[in-house]
Amino acid sequence: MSLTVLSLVHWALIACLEAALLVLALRRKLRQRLPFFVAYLAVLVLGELGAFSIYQIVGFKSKTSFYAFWILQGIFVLLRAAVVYEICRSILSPLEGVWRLAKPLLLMMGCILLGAMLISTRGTPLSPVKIIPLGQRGLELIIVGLLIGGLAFCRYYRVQVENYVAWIALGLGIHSIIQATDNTLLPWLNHFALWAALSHVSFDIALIMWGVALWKPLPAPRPAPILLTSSEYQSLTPQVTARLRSLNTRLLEMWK
Amino acid sequence: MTMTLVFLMAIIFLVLLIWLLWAQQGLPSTQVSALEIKKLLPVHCQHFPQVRRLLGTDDEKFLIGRASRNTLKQWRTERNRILRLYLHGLAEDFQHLQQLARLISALSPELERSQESELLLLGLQFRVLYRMTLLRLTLRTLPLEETARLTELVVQLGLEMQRFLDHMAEGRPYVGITSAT
Repeated sequence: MSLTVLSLVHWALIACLEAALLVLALRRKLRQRLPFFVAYLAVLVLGELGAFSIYQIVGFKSKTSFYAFWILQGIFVLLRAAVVYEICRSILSPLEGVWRLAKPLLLMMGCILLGAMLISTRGTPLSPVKIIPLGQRGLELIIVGLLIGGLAFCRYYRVQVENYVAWIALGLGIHSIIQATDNTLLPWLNHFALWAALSHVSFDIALIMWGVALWKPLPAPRPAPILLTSSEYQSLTPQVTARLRSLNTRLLEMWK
Repeated sequence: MTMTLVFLMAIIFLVLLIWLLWAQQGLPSTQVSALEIKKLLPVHCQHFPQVRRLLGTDDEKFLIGRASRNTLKQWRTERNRILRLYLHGLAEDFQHLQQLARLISALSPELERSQESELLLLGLQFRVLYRMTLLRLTLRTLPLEETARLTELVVQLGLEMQRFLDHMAEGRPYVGITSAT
């Protein structure tokens, strides 16, 4: 092992915090509301144990440790993307129409960002050291994009996000934003220790926010709203739109 | 891409995220009572008869030649101030009606993408036009009779929304909205 004592202490603290969060999430029965998030916490704890065992057996600087670290990171990022999708679904799905409208748009946004990530890696030498940070940055940006897109729908249709969900989302968002920034700056800084420190700080912040989210008991689930009929929407909305359009036309006329 | 730009983008994303998460905490949820929905109905455009008089040219014609230049100037400044307040109220009414339209959309089992995107664009267009109209009022180049016509439209829209809400509340058959503007 070539890790410093300070790093080991930090690692142990983080692992304990992750385990405590998992216990708290299970006690709060979060599995029924955000199963992917609970699964992510469980994988985090298992990942720490697995990584520690691998580092003990083959050493911190071995190739096996390198690949194990990045494979774990890949799994974590994919799980976080699933959690973000789950958050958007849990907030918007009670409003059937809004969710039907938002889902394809969010998926399309994800595909566009994925395409952008693939384009950005074009021409990069096929070396894991070069490809992995770019790939991770792309996936982190997909997470941020999905989160902001989903929340924009919530804001537009005045859907309230429960406090604990907001803290979980903020933790995920901050972690992804800092990770994406960190990975973008890596070629300039060319300093692995600094990159790792920033990455740890962002994750520590996220853990604290998830702790805040789960500190208090979760509020009772909200009853599903009573929806209107399709015909009411079909009859009213086009006419309201026509009125708003004519209002804007009148405003425009004032400028002629 | 420079390092500053990367930092700037990260900060923008962060601020946007916090704003989206916490700015909406104060907004009404989609489950609002009929009483709260009534709050969204236009209020300011109800003062239309009083403002219509102000928008007319009779008072100004009467004052010209009778009042001193200073008094006339003061009267015009005061009229513009009231009009500005009124326009502000009108914009608030528009926003409330738009909010109501969004509420109807949010509670609908199926939405039409074209309708929703048009609603979004109209809202954005209104914001721009409203700012420009306010600027014109400041520069004193706003035709008053146009402001009056604009108000009539908001009043009509408010009445129609009221009828729809009454229908929703009482379960009476909805008779439809007149399409004439």
